[in-house]
Amino acid sequence: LFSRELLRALFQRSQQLAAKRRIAMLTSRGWLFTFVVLGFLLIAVLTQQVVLFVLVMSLGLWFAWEWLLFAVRARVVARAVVLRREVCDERGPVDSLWAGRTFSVRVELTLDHWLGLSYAAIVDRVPFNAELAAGDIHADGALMEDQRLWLDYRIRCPVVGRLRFEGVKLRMADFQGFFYHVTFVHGVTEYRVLPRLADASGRPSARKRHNLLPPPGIHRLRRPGTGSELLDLRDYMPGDPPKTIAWKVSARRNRLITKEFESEVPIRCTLFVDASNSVRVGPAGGNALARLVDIAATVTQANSADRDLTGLCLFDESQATALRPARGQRHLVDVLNRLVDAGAKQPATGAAPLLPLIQLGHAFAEEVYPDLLRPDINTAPFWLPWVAKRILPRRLQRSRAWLYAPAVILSLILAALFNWAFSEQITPGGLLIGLAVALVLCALIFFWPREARLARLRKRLASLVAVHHRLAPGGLATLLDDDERLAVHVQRFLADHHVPYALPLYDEAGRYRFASPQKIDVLATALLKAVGRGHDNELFVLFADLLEVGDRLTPLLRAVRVALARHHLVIVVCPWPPGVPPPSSEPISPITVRRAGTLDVHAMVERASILRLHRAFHKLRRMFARLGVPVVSARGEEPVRLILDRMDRLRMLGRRR
Amino acid sequence: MSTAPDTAAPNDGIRHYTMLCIAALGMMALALFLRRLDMVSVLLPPLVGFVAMLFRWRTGALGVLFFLAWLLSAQQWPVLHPLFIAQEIAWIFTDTGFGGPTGRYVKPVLIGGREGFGPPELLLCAATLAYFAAHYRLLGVSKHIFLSDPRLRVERDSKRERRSPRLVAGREVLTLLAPLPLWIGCSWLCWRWLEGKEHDEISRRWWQVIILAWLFGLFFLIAAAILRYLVRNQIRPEEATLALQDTLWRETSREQRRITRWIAWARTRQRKKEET
Repeated sequence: LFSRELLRALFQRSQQLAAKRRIAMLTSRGWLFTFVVLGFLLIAVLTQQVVLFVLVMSLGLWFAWEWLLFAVRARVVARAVVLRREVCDERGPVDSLWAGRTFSVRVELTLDHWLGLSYAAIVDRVPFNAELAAGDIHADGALMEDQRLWLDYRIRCPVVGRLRFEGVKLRMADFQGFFYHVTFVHGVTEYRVLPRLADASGRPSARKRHNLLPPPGIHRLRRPGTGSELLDLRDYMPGDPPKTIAWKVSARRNRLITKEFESEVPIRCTLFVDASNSVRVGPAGGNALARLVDIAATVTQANSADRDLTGLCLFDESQATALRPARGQRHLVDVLNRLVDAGAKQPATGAAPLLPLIQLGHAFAEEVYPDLLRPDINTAPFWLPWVAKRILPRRLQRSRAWLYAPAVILSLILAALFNWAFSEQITPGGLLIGLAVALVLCALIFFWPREARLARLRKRLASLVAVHHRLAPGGLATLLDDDERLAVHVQRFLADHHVPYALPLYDEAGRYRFASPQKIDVLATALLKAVGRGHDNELFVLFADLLEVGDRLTPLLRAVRVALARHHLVIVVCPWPPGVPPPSSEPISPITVRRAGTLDVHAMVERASILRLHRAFHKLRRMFARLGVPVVSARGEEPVRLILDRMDRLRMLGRRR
Repeated sequence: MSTAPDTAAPNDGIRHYTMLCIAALGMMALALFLRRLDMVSVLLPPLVGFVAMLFRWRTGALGVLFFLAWLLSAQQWPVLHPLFIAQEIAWIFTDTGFGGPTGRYVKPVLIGGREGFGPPELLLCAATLAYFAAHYRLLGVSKHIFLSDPRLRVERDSKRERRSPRLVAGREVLTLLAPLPLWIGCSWLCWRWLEGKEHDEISRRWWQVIILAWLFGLFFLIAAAILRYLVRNQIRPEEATLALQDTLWRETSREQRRITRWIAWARTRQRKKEET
């Protein structure tokens, strides 16, 4: 998806296009017309031909009038376009979407200006996490006070996350095709895509959304309480509520008898979901975090169906956000929303290479924020490349050594030719002039800043990002001179707009960038806090990527021991990379390279990675097995079944008590 | 989709502008005939225009202008007449023994020049203007109207790149033709004003060219200034913030650069120390 060649090609083409349309909004047709008319006008005046002059001048006046009209429309009138968007299901407009379902999107553009736009074409941007299911995202026509443009299409949301509709691309042209202007009508609307509904057994539900809660009293504690199931009958004692008197039995026994009811035992389950960089790596919906969110959402809904209490703790490298166990529709929606928001996050690192980020960020900004990249408000001074910080490492810069020889040879040849043309001989003076020109050219080549274009792009993008993130007045200078900060801010800018970007997984030393060992301490602290607040019969499910952290698990193991000592249950669910075979108890065959060549090396690396993951998983399983804690991989339906099974076990414990 | 009344047939736009092109070419032929040009000269520009319209040539209208300019110049300088030139070339081949015409077909002396600006000239200008507008608009509905975006990887003349022909209403043709006399009138007035301009030291013709260049330059400068003012009046808060930030950066870039580079360097060094 993000090969370097593709990025470069996209970037270069966007630059060509931007350069084309920046110059006076003229198309190639318009330029040709201008030059021809000016040429004939010159001929008409020089030859004093009145008919030709009037003919060509009237063409010129007509063209100038069209240009003026179009420029006013493009620069002034187009700003008054208003965008309205509605996402609906079968019953009407919705605020949240559901994964796996289709929704209709209706976009309407209106313009309240007397001049209007005589011709405009609109193209909607389908969000990155959605697919176009039916309909057309293109429309064209006039946009006037009494005429509007609209789009009607259907989208499908295959993955859980967030959908962000940026707005509509508005292309304008005059009827003749002389002028062209493209702008973007902003109308940002964001929707959550919630996971599909699941029932008490964790399977996708086919029932309607409400009435998820079955009648109360599914799991009971045989102690007197306020439940609905009858536990026992006893003699009436003063103070018992009259409504609990069993009148028929009282009549039979000739004394007042009171009914005693069972207690309801809610089972608490707290889900610790890893939202660190290590699980965010990969495409949206296809990364480890998406699977964790899916499992957590299913478990939450299944618990909610059984009226159990579910808590949530989202943690990453720096902090943990906890939501105390509770039940009810509002709590369920809150948990799902938090899970969705966590699932939409993308990885970020300050050590990422700048070049692809700048290229991608600038191409996206050209598309969505063309007004903020206008040269009159976002300048890139001519001296900038000489003082700008280098973006590419020196080893990746193209050498200019090959330019010196042509510069010298061409200068000398041209000097000799001119000399011959003027004096019919080649003199030493002429050659000296050629040599001087060659020296000037060589100096220019030597001192001309490399990456001049990249420096300008960096400045424009940094300005935009600084405004977008509301940085302090010195923020722009910081971004221009601090590569790490710029990389982080550009990643944040792309992530805010849900633009997928690729990051290298390993650093120059071959170390995995996203192991995030700091999260172990955060998780251990959060677990201890939950244990401190917890009641009996609690289940702690740790959805955490612990495969890459190696031997730094000690704080977590200590916290788990504390939890077990308090008679809680703990389960570890480890995310598993998609496409990698699941860990099994069978021994893994050794790596063999049968033949030399690229293909075999690739296979060998792949096999080594799989082997490493399997070994890490088995090691993790052994470490937790000593404590009696099961470890499962987040593949298939196994984790959901295991968690629900443990919940049932806790209920049985409650019944026996 | 548009809320415009959808009463037009799918190909109304192409039909309207094709008819307008043909009508304009007919008027052009009539105007040339009234200017007492020979039959070949009368038919040549309309024929070029018709072929250009038929095959949707992008430069077809400019070709018509080229031939018109050529023929108008030929009326003033008969040796430029295309048939005369063709005949001269043919005579070269005859002399070299490859055969050729036996007699002179065109007599440049007989091609009379026409002075002044009368109804035939007005008709010629109106027809040419109408043909230009109609031809380019026809290209817009049948080939493409937008600058193609190479990133989209769509075909150059795909449906999305052209204007929907159903959007063209008959009223649009009328609004196109209505202001034509205005442009012609303005141009004629401009010529009348320009022909009286003279300079003591510069040749009259070049002086007129200089005046014309100044005229165009002033028009574009004033128009651009007014446009810029209008745009600045409507600037959004983000754009204003960006402009202010940019100004501040340009004013203090040297000091800020020095400070931020020191900070970045210190942070990198601190990290390296921690790693070691």
